[in-house]
Amino acid sequence: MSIALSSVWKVFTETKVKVEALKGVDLRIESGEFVVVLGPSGSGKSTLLNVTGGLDGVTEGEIRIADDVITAMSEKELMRFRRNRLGFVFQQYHLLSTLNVGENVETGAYGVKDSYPYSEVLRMVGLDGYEKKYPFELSGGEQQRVSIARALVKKPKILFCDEPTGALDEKTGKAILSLLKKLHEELSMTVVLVTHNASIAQIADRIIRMNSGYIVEDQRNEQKVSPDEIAWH
Amino acid sequence: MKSRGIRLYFLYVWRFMREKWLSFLLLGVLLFISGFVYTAIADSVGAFQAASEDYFEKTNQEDFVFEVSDTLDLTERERVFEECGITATSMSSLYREDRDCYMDIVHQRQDRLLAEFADIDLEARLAKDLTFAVEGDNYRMRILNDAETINKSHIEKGEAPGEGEIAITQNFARARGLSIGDTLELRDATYAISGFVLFPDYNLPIIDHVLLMDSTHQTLALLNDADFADFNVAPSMYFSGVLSATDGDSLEAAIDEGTYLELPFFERLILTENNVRSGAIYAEIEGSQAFALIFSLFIAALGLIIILMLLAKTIRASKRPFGVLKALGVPNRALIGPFLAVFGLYGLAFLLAGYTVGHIVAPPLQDLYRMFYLLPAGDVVFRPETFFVAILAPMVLLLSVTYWLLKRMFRLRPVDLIHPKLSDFAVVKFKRMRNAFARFSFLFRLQVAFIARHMGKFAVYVLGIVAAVYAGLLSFSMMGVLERTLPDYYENTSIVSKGYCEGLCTDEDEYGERVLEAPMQINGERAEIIGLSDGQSLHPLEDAAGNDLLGKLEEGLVISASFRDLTGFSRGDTVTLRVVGRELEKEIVDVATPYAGSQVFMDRSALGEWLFDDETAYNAVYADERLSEEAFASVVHVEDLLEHVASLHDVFNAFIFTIIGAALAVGLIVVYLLTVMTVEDHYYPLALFKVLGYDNKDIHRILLGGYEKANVVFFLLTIPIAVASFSFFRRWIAEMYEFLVPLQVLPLHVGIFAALFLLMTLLGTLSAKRRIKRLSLQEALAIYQE
Repeated sequence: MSIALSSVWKVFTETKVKVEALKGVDLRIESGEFVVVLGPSGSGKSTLLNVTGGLDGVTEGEIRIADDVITAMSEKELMRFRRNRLGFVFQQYHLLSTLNVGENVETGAYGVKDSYPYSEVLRMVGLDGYEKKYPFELSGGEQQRVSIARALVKKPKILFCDEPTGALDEKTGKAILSLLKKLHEELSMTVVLVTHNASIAQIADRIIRMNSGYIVEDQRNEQKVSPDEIAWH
Repeated sequence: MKSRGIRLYFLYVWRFMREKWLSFLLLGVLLFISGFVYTAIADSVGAFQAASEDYFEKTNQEDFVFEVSDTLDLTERERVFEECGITATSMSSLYREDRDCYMDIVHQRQDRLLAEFADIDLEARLAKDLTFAVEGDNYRMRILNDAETINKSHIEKGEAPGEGEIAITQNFARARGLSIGDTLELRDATYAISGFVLFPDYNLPIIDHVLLMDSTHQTLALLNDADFADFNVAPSMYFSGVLSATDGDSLEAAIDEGTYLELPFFERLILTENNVRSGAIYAEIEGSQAFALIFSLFIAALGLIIILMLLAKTIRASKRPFGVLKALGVPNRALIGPFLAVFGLYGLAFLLAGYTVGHIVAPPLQDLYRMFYLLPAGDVVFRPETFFVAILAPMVLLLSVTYWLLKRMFRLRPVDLIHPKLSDFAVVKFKRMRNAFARFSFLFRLQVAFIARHMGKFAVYVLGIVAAVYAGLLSFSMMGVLERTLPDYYENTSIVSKGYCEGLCTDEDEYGERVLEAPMQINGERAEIIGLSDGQSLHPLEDAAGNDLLGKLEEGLVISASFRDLTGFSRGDTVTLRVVGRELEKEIVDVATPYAGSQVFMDRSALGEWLFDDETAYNAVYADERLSEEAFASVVHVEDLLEHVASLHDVFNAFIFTIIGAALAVGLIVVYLLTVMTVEDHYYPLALFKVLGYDNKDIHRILLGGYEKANVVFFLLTIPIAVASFSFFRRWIAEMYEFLVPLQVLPLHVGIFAALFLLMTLLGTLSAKRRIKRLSLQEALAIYQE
């Protein structure tokens, strides 16, 4: 499932200071790509992920996912679109503390007809047998795996990941990246991963660099490495 | 998958509630109390009201009464002399001499009153009072004539009395173990109880004093007409009236213009709604309904606000996971629905439980009312309006406000839930606060800042505290209210019995000291004039400083402190006494301290001279020993009165302690919930303070210190509010019923309640303190990060 952004502007005006987070961004991501959006803090990379994933609106421009123009959708249509097509993983795991692992995963399958059984998706993320455990009984890496399982349970066509390893140590972070890579290959999903960590970008098919709301570089990664091989910064 | 998904959100809400089970249980208790109190009172009073209205309709309850003087006016005296050849000064003495002549005067008075008011009907109400014994204990009885049209008697059980029979009230019979067929000895005659009777003009069995209303210590009674006429006691009488036409204008106009005062024998007109014995039930019904509604709404509102606070807290705590779920396409209704359903079902369960128990308790509660009120019992039935107010109204409120709150929180976009923006609102508030409290210590400013961050919560806290303190003080102010009436009065005298003669006494002074008592009007205010003599030993008269005032009676009137409070008269005022067409101007020379109702003291010789042209006249004897019933028309024994008061005292105290208990319970719940919530709301600052080296005591002072200071401030502020409102309440009762309820807020009571309140606060904050102590730093910081 491809993604196409044309002349996308995002201006925040809630505070007294007007902030232009995206300045006329044009971008196309092909179906099945593993793309890393790289940039320092404030470069607009998370805003790019939010508007592309339909979590936030745009000020100007158009975003098309496959044949659907999501910038023309109502809140309700967007919600249904996200439910059926998109998955999200964030830096913090944001699990519901009073639900166990299996239940937390199941919350991601709300209203989806064709979803994985939660045990299967837990097996995919390496948490087989963790169904009955509660979030407080898990390590940070395990919690992130649960949040990935929650995003995957509904078989999304695109997975958006916002700094998914930001709160993890090197070993766990690499394990999560390996998992994302493995799932990408096995499930043929499009993955858009946002990070400030340049070393993570080495695992991507394509690296998009952002700065001050502009895409400053967009290139195929010819020296792709496996997550285990990257030098963690 | 959809229904499974929703089930999970239900599970989430349910588990959240389970985690905070004590808070939710207490909230449930509040909702239960709300439903219970309203239903119990509304259903019992409703049943009672329906039955009473029917009863009043059937028995033609009076709309008003004309009270008339026992003293004959000059025209009447002349008529009595001319028509009957009798020299009589009072109705009582005339009754003794010639009953036909007595009835002639009654009819004449009735005609004169009817001539003044065209659209009313009147009927003479005759009452014969006596003391009688059951198994050696003395009780009071008022035998009423069997009315023909107004205030008709109602036989609750058994038969109307035939010859040699009597009907009494069921309450008295039950309390004294009397049954139909048992006999009573009344003044040497024996009567068999034929049945149990009610009179619509005596909803409260008030015979001697407005505060003596215990239906187990006195009874009303009915004899047949012949036995009533033969019963050897002179009656007191008044005229019961109803508005006969659809138009009651002339009576209303008469009340406004005061024209009815022109008849010399006329004492006063009392509308039923202002008459304690016949009309207090109306105020009771209205008061009970208002109390039930206000109390239960208040409790429900407290519960509701606290539920909403907990809800807001829950959603705030799970904002980010909910944001992710929204990002994943979970619609608002899937997130809102479970909260609404679970909270709604939870609230409904407790409200329904309260309603059900209240409905079950309504019949015994009605019986409790009927321990005081002599009224027929009604059936407690399902009343849609009770169900609506007790259940549906709180539910609609709960669900709509919950829905509004959830909608408001979930209308945010997923990204705003996942990455909430910092609001400058708290900062602005804190800045303002910092300026306003710049001169205060840092600790104090911190305490204020923590309160200011959650003003809604603080408002509920204050509301709960003020309500608890107010109810507590009200209960304490009622403590000893009965003792401050008759017992205090009699404690200051050495009177054992009071004997009343029929008309004027002749040689009964061998039994005690002479006294002349007469009801009359003073500047339009009804008063009981008591003529005493200097040198009287049994009824001393003293001012607040203990100075003897008997000697001052020669100079003018001495009024009781309660009469002063009731009327506003004060020392130095010149007032006009008025009775049966005679008028006398007198100066008020002093105020006597003991509470004594509307009593006004006057020199007996001067009173006798003015009323009867006889300075030796007296109509009562005060004795320091128990007087015989045989020697007097009626006798009042102080011991019996005090026993009567004591019997009311227990019921009263049970009522007072229940309110104090309820006030403290509500206060405890509010303090517990809100202080625990405060600690939970501030886990991060709390952890931060721990990191900075504050010990538990310091943290407790910062977080809860503000609430503790608020406790003290609002406790103290509530005292003057309570005192002022009690004073208003006293005035309102005085205007309605012409007697003062001696509510008193004593420093001792404030002290005792303050101690109880302190204990309640300590218990309430115990859990919050334990949480502060228990909190691990890691956990707090983790919660913050989450």
